[in-house]
Amino acid sequence: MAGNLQFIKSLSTSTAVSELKLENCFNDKYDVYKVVLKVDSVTSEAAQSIRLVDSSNNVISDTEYDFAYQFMRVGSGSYSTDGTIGTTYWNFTMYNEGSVGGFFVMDIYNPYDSSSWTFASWQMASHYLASSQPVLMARKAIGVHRSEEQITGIAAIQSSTRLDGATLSVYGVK
Amino acid sequence: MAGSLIKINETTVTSNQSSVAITGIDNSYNVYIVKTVGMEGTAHDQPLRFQVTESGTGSGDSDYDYSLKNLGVNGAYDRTGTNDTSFTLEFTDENTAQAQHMSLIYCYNFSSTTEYALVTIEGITVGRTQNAVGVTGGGVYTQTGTARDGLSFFQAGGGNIRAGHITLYALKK
Repeated sequence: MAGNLQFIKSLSTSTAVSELKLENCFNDKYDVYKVVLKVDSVTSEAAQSIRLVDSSNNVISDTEYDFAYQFMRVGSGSYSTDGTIGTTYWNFTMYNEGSVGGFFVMDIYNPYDSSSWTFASWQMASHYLASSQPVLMARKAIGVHRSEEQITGIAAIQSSTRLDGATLSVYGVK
Repeated sequence: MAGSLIKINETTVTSNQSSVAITGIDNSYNVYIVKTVGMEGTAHDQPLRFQVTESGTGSGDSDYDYSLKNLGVNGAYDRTGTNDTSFTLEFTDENTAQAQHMSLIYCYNFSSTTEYALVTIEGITVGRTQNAVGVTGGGVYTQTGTARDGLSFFQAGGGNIRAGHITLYALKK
């Protein structure tokens, strides 16, 4: 019997890019998806965000994204929470520095429903460098895309071309 | 290769119901997951809540403890309960466009008659102000003696659930 968590598609890079974009990965067969971003390598310190892709395969960059997160780290230092309304992406979905790598898992609800906003919940684990030593950091976050439109894909984006070892994968929860 | 996430049961709400139960938990698996999508209530600014079911009926006894971190886009806050009569999620509203709740609720020890039933909650709600709130945390149902076979959802304040799709999965041992 086939299981009910089903692989849909993935995209990898081994050369430096600023965007990993998966088109046509959301459809009417599922209402909930799991998206996994695994980062093995960046050329330099790199923050990463998520944008959604519309039915014309355009990355949506309108001010329609809300998100909130809790930041956590090992060792001494502060935990923090923050929220943002009406920005152009779901920010702080990933951060990488050094060679340790990191990943996130995101649950996305109702992306393909053209009469519904798209909801998401995610958690990430990665590292930043403090005095050249990797420090584990994590975020738990949620977001909504405040637009009633059909979402067919997802893009992991950076402001610089620094992502040179990563895989973005999408699974459907049947 | 056979998969390891197994659908057990599902139900869809298309008209007002005072409560909606999803059942099918037994001792076949150790861990179950309840997925809720597009849950909407008819009452103004009232929380969606849920109880464990025993023989298909929600238990309203004062045996629910929970602790949640709620991540709102306009502020974070904690929500806790002790000896409550149900677990809580977040507020929904009948008059607000896109006021919905989505969640994944993991259920542990439900078929045991000697151990507490545990849940972890990963949810997101858009409520009265159209601002999103994430619900993260867990709870425990401290009554033993009877196996729990599912969850029953309802809206506080006398509201009904008017829409939603609930699915029960199991993780293969």
